[in-house]
Amino acid sequence: MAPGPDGSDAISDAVLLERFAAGDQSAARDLADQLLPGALRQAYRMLGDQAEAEDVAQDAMLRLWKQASDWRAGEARVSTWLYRVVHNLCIDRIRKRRPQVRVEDAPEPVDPDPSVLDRMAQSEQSKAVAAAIAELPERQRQALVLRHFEGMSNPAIGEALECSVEAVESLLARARRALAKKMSEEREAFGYG
Amino acid sequence: MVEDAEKHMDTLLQQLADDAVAGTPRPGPDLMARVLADASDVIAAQPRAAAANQTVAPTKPGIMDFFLGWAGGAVAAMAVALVIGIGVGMEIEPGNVPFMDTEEDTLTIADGGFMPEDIL
Repeated sequence: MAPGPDGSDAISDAVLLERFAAGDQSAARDLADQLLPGALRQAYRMLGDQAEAEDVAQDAMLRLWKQASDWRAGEARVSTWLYRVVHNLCIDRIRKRRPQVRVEDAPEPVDPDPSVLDRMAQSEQSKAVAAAIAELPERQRQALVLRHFEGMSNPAIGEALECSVEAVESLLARARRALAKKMSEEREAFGYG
Repeated sequence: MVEDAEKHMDTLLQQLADDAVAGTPRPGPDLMARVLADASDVIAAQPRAAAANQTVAPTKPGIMDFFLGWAGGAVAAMAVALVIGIGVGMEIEPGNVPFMDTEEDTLTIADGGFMPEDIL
């Protein structure tokens, strides 16, 4: 199983990137094996379209290859850097989908697209959870998804969302409280009690 | 009670996460090939860029180069001047040195020609 982007493989990612910058082609395959699935998953969750998600994942990896020779180890996790690149590329595409709306009038794109998450849910209970997650404020939703769906550690989430670990803990606590409240209100939908 | 609710919520979140993973496409061989081809292109471009940089932007002379170049130029100029001087000197016969005053035209302080008394 490929390692998750929780920071546990930050050193090996950085080492692989260094080897790639030195011209080691096999390091590129190892990095792609580790990072590409997560990048594609994130892009698909935001865009809901496989072809577009693949283009974004490829573009993000290309940016990583180009960045390799200038990479400064220890400043950021490779996986977190890639998460932000994928996030920004997806937002660009979401904005381009709505050309009739002026950029300043368009609402900020969300991560993930709740409708995509809803489509992924297999059971009624999962759909209820997806709907509850969709109602969360964006930052809480991002933190929850990165924690529970991407398996990121709190420090890694903090890097991705550009906030402190304490702020991440607060976001997660509020998200869970909101979900619990929703669950207590709609016990049947959530299969609880 | 609260612990049960937390536990149930974690179970549901995990279930949805599993659904999301199952519902997300895995990178196919085509995507992986495209990504690795990009990596090859970037690696291939790196040595060429380095070589191009060396050709386009040669290193600037350092301060030592500047001074050594200046000293070398000065030595060369003096050598040329010396050779010319020797050449000119060889052409002049002894006792016939141009621009040199003869003895009777020589102005000295002793004969009063240098600073006449009427001026004082």
